[in-house]
Amino acid sequence: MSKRSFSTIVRMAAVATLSLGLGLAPSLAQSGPALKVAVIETLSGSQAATGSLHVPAAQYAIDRLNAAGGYNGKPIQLLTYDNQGTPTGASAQVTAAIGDGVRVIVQGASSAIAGQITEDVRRYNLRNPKQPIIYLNSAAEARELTGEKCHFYHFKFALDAEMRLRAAAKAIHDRKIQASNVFSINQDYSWGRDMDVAIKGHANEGGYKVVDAVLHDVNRIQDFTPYVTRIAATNADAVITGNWGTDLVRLMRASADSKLKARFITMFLDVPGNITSAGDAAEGHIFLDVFNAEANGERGIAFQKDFLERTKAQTLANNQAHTVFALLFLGEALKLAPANGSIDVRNIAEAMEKVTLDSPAGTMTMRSDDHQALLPIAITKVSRDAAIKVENSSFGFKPLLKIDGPDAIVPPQSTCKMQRPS
Amino acid sequence: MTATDLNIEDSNRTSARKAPGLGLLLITGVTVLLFTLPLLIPPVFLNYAIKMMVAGLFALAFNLLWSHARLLSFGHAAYYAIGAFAVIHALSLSERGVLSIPTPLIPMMGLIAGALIGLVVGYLATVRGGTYFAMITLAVGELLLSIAPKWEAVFGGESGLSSMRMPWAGLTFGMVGEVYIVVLIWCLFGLVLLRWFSATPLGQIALAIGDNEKRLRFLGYRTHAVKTVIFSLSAAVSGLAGGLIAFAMESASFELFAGANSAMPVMHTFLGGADVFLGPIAGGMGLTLFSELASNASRLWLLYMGVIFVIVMMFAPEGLAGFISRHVKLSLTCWRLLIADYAVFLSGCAGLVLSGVWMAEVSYRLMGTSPIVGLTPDGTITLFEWTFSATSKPLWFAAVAVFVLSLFGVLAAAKRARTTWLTIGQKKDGLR
Amino acid sequence: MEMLSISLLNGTIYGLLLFMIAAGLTLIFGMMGVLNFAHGAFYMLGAYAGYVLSARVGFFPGLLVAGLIVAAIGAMVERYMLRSVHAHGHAHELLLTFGLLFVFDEIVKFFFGYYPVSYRVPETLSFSVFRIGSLEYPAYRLFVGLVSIGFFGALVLILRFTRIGLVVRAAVHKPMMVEALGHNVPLVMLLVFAVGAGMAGLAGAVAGAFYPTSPAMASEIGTIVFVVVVVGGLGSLGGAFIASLMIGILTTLMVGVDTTLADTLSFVGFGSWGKDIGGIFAVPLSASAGTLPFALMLMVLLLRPAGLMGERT
Repeated sequence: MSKRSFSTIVRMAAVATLSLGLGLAPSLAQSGPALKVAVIETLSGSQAATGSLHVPAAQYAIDRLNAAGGYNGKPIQLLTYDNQGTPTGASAQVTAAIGDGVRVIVQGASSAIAGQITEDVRRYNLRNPKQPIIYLNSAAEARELTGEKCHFYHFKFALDAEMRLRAAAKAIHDRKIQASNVFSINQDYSWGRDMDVAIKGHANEGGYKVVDAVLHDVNRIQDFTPYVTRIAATNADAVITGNWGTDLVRLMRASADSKLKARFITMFLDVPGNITSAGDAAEGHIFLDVFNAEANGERGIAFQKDFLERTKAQTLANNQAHTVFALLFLGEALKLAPANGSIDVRNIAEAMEKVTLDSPAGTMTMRSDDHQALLPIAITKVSRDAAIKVENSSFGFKPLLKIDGPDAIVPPQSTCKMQRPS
Repeated sequence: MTATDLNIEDSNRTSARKAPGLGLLLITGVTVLLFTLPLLIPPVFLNYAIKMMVAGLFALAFNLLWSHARLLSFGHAAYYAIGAFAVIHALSLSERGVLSIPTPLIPMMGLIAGALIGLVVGYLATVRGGTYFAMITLAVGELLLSIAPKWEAVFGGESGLSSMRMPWAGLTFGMVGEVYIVVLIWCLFGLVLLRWFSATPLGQIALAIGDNEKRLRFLGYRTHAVKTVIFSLSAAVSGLAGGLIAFAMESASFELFAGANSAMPVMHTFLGGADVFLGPIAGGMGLTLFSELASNASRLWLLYMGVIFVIVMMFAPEGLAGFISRHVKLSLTCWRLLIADYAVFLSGCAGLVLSGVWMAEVSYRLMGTSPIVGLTPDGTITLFEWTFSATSKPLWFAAVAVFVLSLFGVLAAAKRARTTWLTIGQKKDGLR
Repeated sequence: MEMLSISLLNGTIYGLLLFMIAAGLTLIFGMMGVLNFAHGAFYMLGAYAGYVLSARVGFFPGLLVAGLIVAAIGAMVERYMLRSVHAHGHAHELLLTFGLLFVFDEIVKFFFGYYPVSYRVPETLSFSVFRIGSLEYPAYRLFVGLVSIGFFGALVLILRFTRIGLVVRAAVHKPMMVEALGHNVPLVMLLVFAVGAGMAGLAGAVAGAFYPTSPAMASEIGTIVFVVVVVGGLGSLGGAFIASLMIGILTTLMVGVDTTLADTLSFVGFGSWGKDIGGIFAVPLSASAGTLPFALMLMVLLLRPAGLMGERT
């Protein structure tokens, strides 16, 4: 995959040199009209852990679409680009992808990079209205992406802080989760602050009280014990946190070491390594996201099994599932907008709004106001009774409640002023 | 004092006199080539060219401090990022019609912002030298990195701030080619600015600070003021570099403050060669191109980059450009004696790289630690259209053999070449 | 009161852990004048070595062997790499360690992957020592503190009361003179570097079982130990000890304080102005526990660069 894009560059260089020699402008447009999809994720550096997961997921989904006939009479091509963990790198790779003839970009591991890509795509489409690009945002949750940064060619398959808290509040209200005194602990930047606002905002809905809230520096805290002490002092019975990566694992381990009684309601617990390194600390805590195999019965379990077999991965994390669903969703849109020799991206984008995807996680549709997908949410508990265990541990995610897309979604933001192509 | 001044003028005059015709021709040729590049290469490579030029300029700005005053900064990301944000704010002001500056002049904002912040930080930081200076710059960088995500009004949220370049004088600035030309002109401006500064009396004093600061102070120079000025200039050009990136990418986010951006100019400068004027540019451009190409080709590219850096630090501490120019100078006189050794050395290096990379890539796949690259179910690997078994004994034997032979060849050739130089050196000394 | 005492204890233990890592760094600086950027990498290597070994030779022997392995790696780095660039000055030594940080980071990812590994506290130490309020105090934290204090004691004893300690202390001040007296200064340097690296490795092996062991460890701890050695005074062991305790306790106590800069401004009547500006003015102190050490380091560097107990300026 990575090799392919490298050879593309080599080929382009060769073409460029050749055409230089012949005094011609490079003409790549004549190559076959196969639909090209690019994954632009962080594949090196410190953030590679999450970014890398998206690549096998995208390959899996594309393989499925190709098994069903591809598009325009040809298999869909998947190209992989490394954004090197920076928005600047991502921007260069967007240009590279467009140069390689890519018409659909998939990305989702980081909101910072999503912010760059969605703006690059928006500006490119403004400047090249005849040959637009689609950006499928698989897992970047920042609310600006469907707020002031929303545009017609951006489709968001990620949840956000409001949707997650709405689901959590419903589960708390329905007594699926016991939580009356809630402590909010989040990272001090836009995502953590959105979470903090959402936790406080959904208190009435869920019938819980926020007893205390704290923000902390991102990825800088080695020892979370002081925070655990503060949580204990409030007698909170539940802690809601949007922390991810080491900030999440450290927090959970510190509270387990101090035998803190509170239950954690978390958003990113299923990333590989988290359950392994949290160990017994994870037991009894809550995790919510779109896909849970057990919550979707046999179909969900079969999907997970198929995914693990084909990708030879140990776990199916939700950010991978998001990528798969986003591409399967695209596959449905492709069915509604068949190509007749040439690929009309605008047609495909318009078809995206009409799709109803019957995914292994439940029904998904696209809201036309801000292009936020209506995604179901499964609320789960880390338990030894779960049908599918994670990463050779004795734990799995046992479903408590499943919420359908239309109930999980929150109203569109007023900041989104979407210009539809005329 | 007069004596030093005279010396400075002397050295300037000699350097200016050296083959002006050839140098001028070369500079003109390269400039013409750079300006016609948009007609020659596709947008992808123009985009790489933009990043390469900016990296070169950034490294050059960083190196102003090191090459002159021997100050090592580990927090240059701060000025780079501040320049970028200044430009993004200016761009969005001009997009909203509040500010009417011609679009191509907007990167100037990065220069100004960098200069201002550099003046403040420089005044404080240059009180100390050596490790303490490095630690102050590191602390300032880390502080800003901590603050930026918390200040959404100025630095935007996680997904950053973005804007659009407005059309000006019939140019839309929507094409990569147009942006490239703007960036090129600004980079040349930065280059000339830094080159010009080195030639000014102030630049010469700054140079002397690096050699012996105490002595200068005894001579009555206010070295702290001089250091503040060069720090500010360095920060200004770094701000310009950041501003150009923001101008080209039309967005900026607080990730620009990350430590990686402080590490970048350090690696570029010392890999290229800190004491050759064009060294940092060569390092910046070379390493940026390497990262663009290698990051899509291999998942181990950061390892290779680190290894290259360590090897250069150990065996060519003057940097690659310095190393090459020294060797070219040395061997021009007696290339006949050395050519065989150089050939063995270079082919040995190629052998080391090829076998080393092959072994690293294959064992990485055998380790199975990456979610992306791995073996096919039958244990084969495809590298550059070549499919083979990962555990094939003959292949491994060949790779190890090539590695060992190349290592031996490189060591032997280096040793022989060194002996040759020493003999030549002795002969010359004897003649004198 | 209960809260305060447990916070003090927590801060002390965290400070002691910081000291264990920083001790090696400050020793190396004192001896060789090199700020070792790869020190965080030694800490990480120790954690991974501990993870691999504890499964094979048992937890406690694993800790020791992990420390020894990292010491051996440190010795090799000094002997075959640092020494050869010594002639080119401290800046090049520093840059070399900077490059090594990159290489070690990538090597760990090469062998162990991107994700945290399951390195755990052994059963024998996973019990609670006492309870405060609803919280129990894990024995392992006390173990971390004890190891660190043991180290500090041993180092002080060796440096003060043994012959080799005498040579090391002398070599810090006048290496040439010590060499002229017939002592093998390069060997002393090698030993100091190996011991420093080994301590970071042991600290990693001890801490890795408690905090998650992941490839991000090196860069996360790297800058904070710089802060410790700078605040303590570059090269001063006692200074590093006090500074690490200070930073540990300060950051711990700050978590409980929700005052913002704007609140402070309101004492002088600028409160609402501060709130309007937002950004750093509206951030409560508790959210700045990770930022504070850098502000402290900056202040120390500007006001008293020798640090709390440093001698060199």
